[in-house]
Parts: sequence; C-alpha cells; structure tokens
Amino acid sequence: MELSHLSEEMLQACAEGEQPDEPSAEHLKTCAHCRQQLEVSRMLLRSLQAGPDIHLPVDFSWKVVANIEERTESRKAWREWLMYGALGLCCILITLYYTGSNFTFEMFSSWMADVWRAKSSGEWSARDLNTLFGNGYLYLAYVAFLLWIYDFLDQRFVQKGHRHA
Amino acid sequence: MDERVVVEQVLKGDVSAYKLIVDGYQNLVGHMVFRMVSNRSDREDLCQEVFVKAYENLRTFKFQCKLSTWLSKIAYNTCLNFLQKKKVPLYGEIQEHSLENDEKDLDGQFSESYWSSFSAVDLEAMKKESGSIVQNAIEALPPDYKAIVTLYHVDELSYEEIGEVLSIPAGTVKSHLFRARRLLKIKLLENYTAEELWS
Repeated sequence: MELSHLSEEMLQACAEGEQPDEPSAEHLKTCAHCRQQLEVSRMLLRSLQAGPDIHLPVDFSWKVVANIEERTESRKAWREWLMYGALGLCCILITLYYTGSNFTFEMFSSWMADVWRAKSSGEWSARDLNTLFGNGYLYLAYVAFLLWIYDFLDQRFVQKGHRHA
Repeated sequence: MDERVVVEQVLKGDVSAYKLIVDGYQNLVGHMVFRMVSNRSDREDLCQEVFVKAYENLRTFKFQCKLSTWLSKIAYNTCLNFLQKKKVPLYGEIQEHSLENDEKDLDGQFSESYWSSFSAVDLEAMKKESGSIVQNAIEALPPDYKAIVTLYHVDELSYEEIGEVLSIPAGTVKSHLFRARRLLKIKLLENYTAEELWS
C-alpha cells in the first residue's frame, strides 16, 4: 500500500528526534518531497533554538538595583510625610475634642451608625459630614493615632530588624 | 547560586543581593521581551519593569514553582499589558490557513534534483545562514505564539511550565506550538524560494 505524504505533525515529531513508524520511515526513503519537508522542519527547529539577539547594557543589573533603591527611598519619604500628617491630625482632633463637647458611648454608636449608613448608600449628605467631623473627630483621632503608633513601631523595630538581620 | 538563600537575603532587605537574580535571569526575561516587543526603545525599559515588579512581589513567591517560571510569567504579563496598551493585536491578523491549504502550500517547493545537487557540507553552511530569515519570520508571528516558541525552544521550559506561565493547559501549549511552527514553515515557504532560504 502506498503511503500518502507524511503529516505535518509527523514531520515535526521526526524533526524533534522521534523515530517514525515503519511505513513512514519507508516512505521517507522514497519520497523526496517528504525528505525536503523534514529538512525544512529541522532547519526551523535549529533556528528557533537560537533565540532573539538581546541588547541589554552590561550594567543592566546595577541599573535595576538603582531603580529599586530610588523607588524605595521615594516611598519611604512619602511614608514619613504620611506619618507626620497622621500625627498632626491626631493633635488637632484631640485638641478639638478637649475644647468641645464631652463624648458618650451613645455618641459613638450614633456616629458609627451614621457613617455606616452613608457608606452603604454611597451618599454623603451635609449632615453626614457634620457627623463625621463633628461628633466623630475623636474616633478619627484614635484611628489616626493607632496608625501612627503602628507605623512608628514598624519602622523602628520590625523593618529595622529586617535591614540588619 | 542557591536561589532560596538569595531570595531570603533580598526579603531581609539586602537589595544588592537582588543583583544576583537579575544577572542570572536577564537572558530569560530578555528573550521574552525582545521576542514579544518589536519596538527597540521600549525593550530595556520593559526588562527593568519586569525585575522591579518581581522585586516588589517577591514576598508572594513561595517556591511552589521554579523562579524561572515565575519570572517568565511576570515578563509575559508585562509584555501583554504593554502590547494591549499599544493596541497590538494579540492573536493576530495573521490568518491561519486550513490544514488542507497548508498541505497544498507546503507541497512541491523543491525537486529531488535540487537536493542532490548539494554536498552535506554545503547544506550545513546553508542551514546556519537561514537563521536570520527564520528570525524575521518569527517577528511576524502573533505575540502568544512568539512567547510559546521562545519559552519552549530557547528557554527549554516544559509544556507544563509554559502552561503555568501563560495560564493555559499543557495540551493547549502543545497544539499552539505545533500551529506556530506550521505557520512559520508556511510563511517561509510562501515568501522565500529554496535558494533564498538556504543561502
């Protein structure tokens, strides 16, 4: 039985080094077309293995490290500003609290409920803003103060420890 | 280098240790970026971007795969995002021929007498020179095919690893690789005569 030309799949497999089955091997011996196709496939594989020419500067890895250090410094500076901002906010809010009305647990619950409702509806009315910055400044102060403490401890102990480990 | 030790050093804040990773894998990342992105001026910036992203996400790397696979994935996604921003078609306006047409296209380009006219040494020299023609043909492939061809043939990743990089099953990688090579062969035989291809 005469075999038709080898499939592209078979040619690619042979080019990669797989042994053709017996009828295919016999066919290859007699068919110039398939031998030529196989040769092109082999040439293609060899060329594919060469890969593209990469033109990166010799100091590429130093450039990457410098880039990372620059970004880290810039973030550190921004973080410091944030930290001082949070501390300043704390001072302002605490001062406002002690010069303003006394606070009760009911005020806290009412403030939380209002904020939650405004957050859920996505609409911040003038009253909500008044609630947030009126009765609620104390809690903002607490949150900001806690953030500041957290950041201070993180910078002072955790990250410093990592840097020198 | 012991990758695990280097990664741990970097995570402890030793940025200069990261240089070892960049040195070790800049070719791997370069292959992907230089293959997928045609614009020369963007290539180096993209390589930098890949390594910066990898540094920033190093904490998420838990050695569940090889570092090379993880970096390839970042490189692939970075290139993909870049190409999408530049509105480069990812799957190609290159229309694939039907298998029937492929077979027809691949038919009868060279005669028996043509092949018998070269000695084995001649053929070997011709094969080397045909490399640049093939590299140009690869440039015209859709980006996804370029990525697969590079990861498989140049970086020698397995089907499974390539599947992980491209987030597709290994079987799909295999069939895409087959199609990419078939497409390359068709394009080569369509656009070049035997003399051009082998001289």
